[in-house]
Amino acid sequence: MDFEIRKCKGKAALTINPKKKVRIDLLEKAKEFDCLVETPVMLIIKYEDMIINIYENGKVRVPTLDEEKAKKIAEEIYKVIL
Amino acid sequence: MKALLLLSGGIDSPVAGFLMKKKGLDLLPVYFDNYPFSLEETKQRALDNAKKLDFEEVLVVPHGGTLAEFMRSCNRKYQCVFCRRMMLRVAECLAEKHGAKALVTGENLAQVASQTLHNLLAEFKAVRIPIIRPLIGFDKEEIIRIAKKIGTYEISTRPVPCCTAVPRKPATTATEEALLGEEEKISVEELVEKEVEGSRIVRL
Repeated sequence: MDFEIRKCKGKAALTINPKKKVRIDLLEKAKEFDCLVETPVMLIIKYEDMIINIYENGKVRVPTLDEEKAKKIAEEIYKVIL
Repeated sequence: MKALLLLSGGIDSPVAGFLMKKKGLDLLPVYFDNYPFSLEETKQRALDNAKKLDFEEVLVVPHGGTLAEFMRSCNRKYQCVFCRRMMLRVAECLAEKHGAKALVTGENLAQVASQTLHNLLAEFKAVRIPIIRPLIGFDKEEIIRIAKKIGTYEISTRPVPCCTAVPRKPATTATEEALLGEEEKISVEELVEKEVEGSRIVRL
């Protein structure tokens, strides 16, 4: 999956956006994760001691500025949701 | 007279608190915790600002569940206005519980989506308790100048992950009618009750 990484507005998190247009049935995929919040537009999950947001358009937000770490986490999540 | 100060992790509400404390108001700060939409760092910013302003305790309210409920069932563009309506409703109940007669907020006209005049009107219609907004007509530069003077600016501008409940295109001209229509889809009273019951005092 091709994606791009950007810094969030608050400059304390990274968002990973797929370059291809996708739409994910989050409520279907929710069972694959340790979910804190499940909604049709966003999942919030616990993953490797972090709180990660997954959006229905495939965007993933990781609260770190470590691009390598964010990329690795996003790749793991994309294996599950795509 | 006692009032509740709605204290976020941002620049404005600590300044609002400082100004009203200077006027002799007895304030109890209240932090609405949007976890997991906002994270521990945001809460810590609010607590550090409260300590900077010489408060000894903060009332922390679990607000994330309410936001999730709205997100599941309602029109996303109203998320921020709904969030503030619920904060005011819960704060009104907490005010009664803690003997406060008013709320103090750091709202500043037209600074962010939830603070257009339309949205402010739609928000305050959710409650009856008087709301004191000492910064409503201030320029941002004035607020920043005061924040720097009182030592809260550095705390308020620490980088933290943004609140992820904010929609991509928040409504800027919400009406009460539209909001009531959305709120009918969820149980507002139950959500208020849950937040009030879940509130905890954190000693600084």
